[in-house]
Amino acid sequence: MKRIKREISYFVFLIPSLLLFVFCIAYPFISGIQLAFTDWDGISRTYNYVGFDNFIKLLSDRNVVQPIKTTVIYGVGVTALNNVLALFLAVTLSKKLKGKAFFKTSFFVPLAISAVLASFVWKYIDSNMLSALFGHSLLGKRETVLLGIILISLWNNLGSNVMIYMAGITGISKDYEEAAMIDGANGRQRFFHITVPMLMPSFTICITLTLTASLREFGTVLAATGGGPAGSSQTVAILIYDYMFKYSRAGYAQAISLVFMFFLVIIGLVLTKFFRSKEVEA
Amino acid sequence: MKRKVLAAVLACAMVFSMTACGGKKGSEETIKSEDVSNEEGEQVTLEFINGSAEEQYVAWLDEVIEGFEKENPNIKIEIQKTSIDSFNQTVMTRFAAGDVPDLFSFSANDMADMVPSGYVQDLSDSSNLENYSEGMLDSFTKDGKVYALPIANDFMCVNYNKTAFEEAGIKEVPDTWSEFMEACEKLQKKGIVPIASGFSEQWVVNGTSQTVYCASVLAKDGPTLAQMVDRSSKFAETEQWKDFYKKMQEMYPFMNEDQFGTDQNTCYSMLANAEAGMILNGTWTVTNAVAMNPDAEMGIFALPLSENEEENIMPMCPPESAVAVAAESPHRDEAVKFLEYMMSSESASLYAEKGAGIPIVKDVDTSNLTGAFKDAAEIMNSGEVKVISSKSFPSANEDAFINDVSGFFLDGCKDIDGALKTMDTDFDNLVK
Amino acid sequence: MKENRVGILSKIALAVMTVIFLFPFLICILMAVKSKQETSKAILSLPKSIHWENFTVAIEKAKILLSMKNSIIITVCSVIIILLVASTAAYAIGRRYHKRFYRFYETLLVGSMMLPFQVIMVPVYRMYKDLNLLDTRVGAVIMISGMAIAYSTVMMIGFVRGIPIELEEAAEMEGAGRFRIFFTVIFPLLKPILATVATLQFLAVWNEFNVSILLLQDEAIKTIPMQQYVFFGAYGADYNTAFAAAVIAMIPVVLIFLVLQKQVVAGMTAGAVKG
Repeated sequence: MKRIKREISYFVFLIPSLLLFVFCIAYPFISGIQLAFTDWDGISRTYNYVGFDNFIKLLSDRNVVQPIKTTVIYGVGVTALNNVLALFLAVTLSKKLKGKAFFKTSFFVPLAISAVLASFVWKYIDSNMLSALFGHSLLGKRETVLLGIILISLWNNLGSNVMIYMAGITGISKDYEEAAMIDGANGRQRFFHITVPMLMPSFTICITLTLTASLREFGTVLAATGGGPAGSSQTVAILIYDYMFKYSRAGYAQAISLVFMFFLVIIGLVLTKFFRSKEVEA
Repeated sequence: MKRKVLAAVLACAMVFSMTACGGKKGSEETIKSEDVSNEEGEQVTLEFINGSAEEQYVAWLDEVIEGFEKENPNIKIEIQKTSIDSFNQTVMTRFAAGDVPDLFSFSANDMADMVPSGYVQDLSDSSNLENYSEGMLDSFTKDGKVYALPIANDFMCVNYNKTAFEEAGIKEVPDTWSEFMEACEKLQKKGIVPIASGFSEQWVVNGTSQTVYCASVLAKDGPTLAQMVDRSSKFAETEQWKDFYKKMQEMYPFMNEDQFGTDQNTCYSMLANAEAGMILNGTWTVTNAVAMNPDAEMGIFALPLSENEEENIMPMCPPESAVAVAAESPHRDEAVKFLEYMMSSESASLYAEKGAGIPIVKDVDTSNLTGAFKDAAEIMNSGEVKVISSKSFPSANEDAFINDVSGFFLDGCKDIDGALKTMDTDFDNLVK
Repeated sequence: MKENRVGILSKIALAVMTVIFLFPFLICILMAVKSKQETSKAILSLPKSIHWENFTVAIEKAKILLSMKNSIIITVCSVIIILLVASTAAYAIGRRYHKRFYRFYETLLVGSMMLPFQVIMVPVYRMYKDLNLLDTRVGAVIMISGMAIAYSTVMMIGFVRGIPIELEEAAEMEGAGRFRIFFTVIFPLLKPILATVATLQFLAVWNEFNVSILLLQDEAIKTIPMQQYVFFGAYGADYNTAFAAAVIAMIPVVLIFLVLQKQVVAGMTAGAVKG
C-alpha cells in the first residue's frame, strides 16, 4: 500500500507533462499519419488512399539520394565541430578569467540573430573575406558549400552548447578536483578522469540534440543557399518541405517525413541510451 | 496537507500564466464593434493574405486600401503579411482546414491545384476584364473562365546602368548579338563587370535563364514550356534550347567571378553604382537598384540574341502573379468589389506613380513615370512586343531546371550537349 | 610548467574565437545605422552620420512595440510553463529511471524531438480551429510549451539523476511530502540547469517561428520573428531596417541572458554546498 502511494506520489509529477504531450504532439501526430497513405496534394479537402504506394515510390526516388548524403555530412560535421568547440570554450570559461562575462556574452549573442540575417552577414564575409583566404567563396562551390553552411550554423548556434556544458561543469563539485589535485593528477588526467565522466548528462544532451537538430536542418540552409548551388546543399528537410508546399505532393512528403523520422528516432535513442548508461548516478 | 497546498500553488501558477497570456486581440475587437453602426448597415471585414512584401507594392496597397475604405465605409480590409517563404504554407494550410481568407495573392502555379478544388472565385463576369489586352489573362484562365486579376507585368530583359554604358563609351543600346558582345567587352575593358549575376539565390539563376530563354526559345517560335514538361519536345532535339546554352556560354566570360558566392543584393548595388553594367532579369531589378542609389540612371532593353535587328523585339508573356478571391468567402461580393477597385485604371496609375512596376491595365496615366519605367511603359503601350507563352515551369520542373543550369555554370559553361541531355533525363524523371 | 603553456594557448584560442564571433556583429550594427545608399557603396565603412531613422522605421513597419509586447507575454508564459512541467517530469523520470514506464516515456519524448513540424501542421491547425484557439496567445503558449517540454525534460533528467538520493531520503525521514521535497531539496539544486534551460528556452521561444506563423496570423498578436519578415520581398530586401529591427529585438534577450547567468553563478555556490 505504501509502495503504491509512493509510486503515485512520483507519477503525479508526470501528469502535466503527459497532458501537454498528448495534446500537442501525440494526437496531432497520430491523426496526421494516415496522410502518408494518401495522394493528398496538400490543399484540397479530399484525397484517395493509395496504400503503401508512397513508400514504394520512395525506394526508387533518385531525388532523395543527394539530400541524404548532404544531410549526413552536414549533421556529423556540425555535431563534431560544435561539441568540440563548445566543450573547449566551456572548460576555458569555467576557469578563473578576467572579463568572463564579456566572453560568455559574445558567444551567446549570435543565438539571438535569425538564420536569415546570420546568413546575410556570413554571405558577405564569405564573398569578400573568406574568398581571399580560400581563393573562392565557400558557399559558391559545390565542394565547399557545406563547410560554409556549417560555419554559419556554428556561429549562430554554438552558444547553447557552451551554456549546457558550462552548467554541467558548474555542477561538478570542487571537492573532486581538489582531491585529484592532491593526488597529483595533472590537467589532462583531471579532464579525462573527472570532468568527462561527470559531464555525461551534458554529453547526452549536447551530442544527441545537436546531431538530430542538424540532421533536420532547414532554416540556415534555406537562407544561406536555398539548397544550391545545383542542389548540392539540399537537405532532407528541405526536400520534404518542397514536396509538401511547392510540388503539391503532401502525401508523399508525409511518407518521407515518417521514414526520415523513424531513422532519426533510432539514432536519437541509440545515442541517449549509450550516454545515459555512462552517466554516473549519485 | 502540505502536499495539497503545494499542488494548488503549482496549479495556480500554471493557470495564472495561462490567463496572463489571455486577452485575445482585445483592442482590435472594441474598434470593430464601434464601427458596426454604419449607414450602409452591416460592417464587413475582409481578410487579404498578401504574399508580396516589396516595399513599393506594400506602400501602393496601403494607399489603395485607404481609398477603397473611404469610398466604402462599411468594408474594412485587413492585410495579413506573410514572408515569401511561408506564403504557400499559410495559404495551403488555411484552405485545407477550411479557414479561408477572402482575398489572397495568387500565382499561375496555383491554377493546377486550387482551381480544381473549387477554392477560387470565377471572375469571368467582372467588367474589369475589358481592361486587359488580348492574351494577358491567359495564365489565370481555365476552360474560358478567369480566376485572378493582375496589376502589373514585368519584362524579362536587360536592365542596364546608363552611366556605366557612357563611361565605357557605348553610345547606343545594342541591337544585335554582336553589338551586345562588343558592349560587354567595352565594359570589361573599363573595369566594369558587364553582367552581374547573384546566383547564390536560386531565383536569380531562374530569372536570368528566363530572360535568355524568353528571347531564344519562346520568342523564336520554339516549343512551349508545357511541351517540354509533358515531354512532347526534347531539349536535345530543339535548336532553340541549344541556342539558349550557347548564348549562356558566350556571356559567361562577361559575368562577375564567383557568381554562386554572390547574392543579388550585392549585384543590385553594383549595378546602381555603375560597378556593373547590366543585370539580366525582370524589370523589378530597376526598382531594387534605384532603392540602393536614387541617382542611378537605369534603362532597359530587349536582350538582342539575333543578328537581325527586327527579330530582337521585347518578348512579353502574360503576367503570372495576381490576386484572387476565395469562392468560399462569406463576403464574396465585397471581396470582388475590392479586387475590381484594386485593379482599376486609377489604382494602376497610382501603381506607376509609386514606382512599383509597370502596370498592365489599359488607360493608365504613365506621365509620372521616369527612367527605365518610362521606357518600359512606352514599349508596352507601343505594342512593339512579341507576346509569348508562359515563362515559368511548374515548381518541380523549375527546381530541376535551376539545378541543371547551375551545374552548367559551375562546370564553366563547357558541355552544351551534356547539359541538354541532363535536362531531358531530369524532366523524364518528373513525368508521373 | 606545461600546465601554463596549455593555459596560455587556450586563452589565445579563446581570444581569437571571440574576435571571430564578434566581428559579424560589427556588420550587424553597421547595417543597422547606415542608409541603403551607404551600404551599397561599402558595407564595412563607417557611416557619415548615424541613421537613427532606421530604428524608427523598423519600429513602425514591423510594429515592434506591439509585437514586442506579444513576444514578451508569450515567451514569459511559455518559459514558466516549460520550466515547471519539464522539471517535475524530469524529477519523476530521473527518480523512477529503473521503471520501464518512465524510460518508455523518455523514449517517447526523445522521439518527439525528431518530429518534423510539417508532419503535424495540418492536424494542429484543424484542432485549433475546432477549439477556437487560433489567433490566441493561450493557444500559442500551449503549443509552444508542448513542443519544447521534450527537449527541456530530456536535458534535466541527467541532472536529476546526479543529485544524491540521500538528500531526499533525509527529508523523507523528517516526514516531508513529495512536493515539499521537490521544491525545497531538488529544485534549488537544479538551479544551474534550470537557469540554462530558462535561457535557452527564452531564446528559442523568442525566436519561435513555425508554430507562430501557423497559429498567430492576426496582425494584432504577431510576435517579433514574424514581423521581421516584412523587410524581405521576393526580389530584394531592406536589410538596413531589418538589422535595426533585429538589434532592437536582441536587447531583451541579452538582458535576460545576463540576469539568468547570475543565477547560474548563484547556483554554483549552492552546488558547492551540496558536495
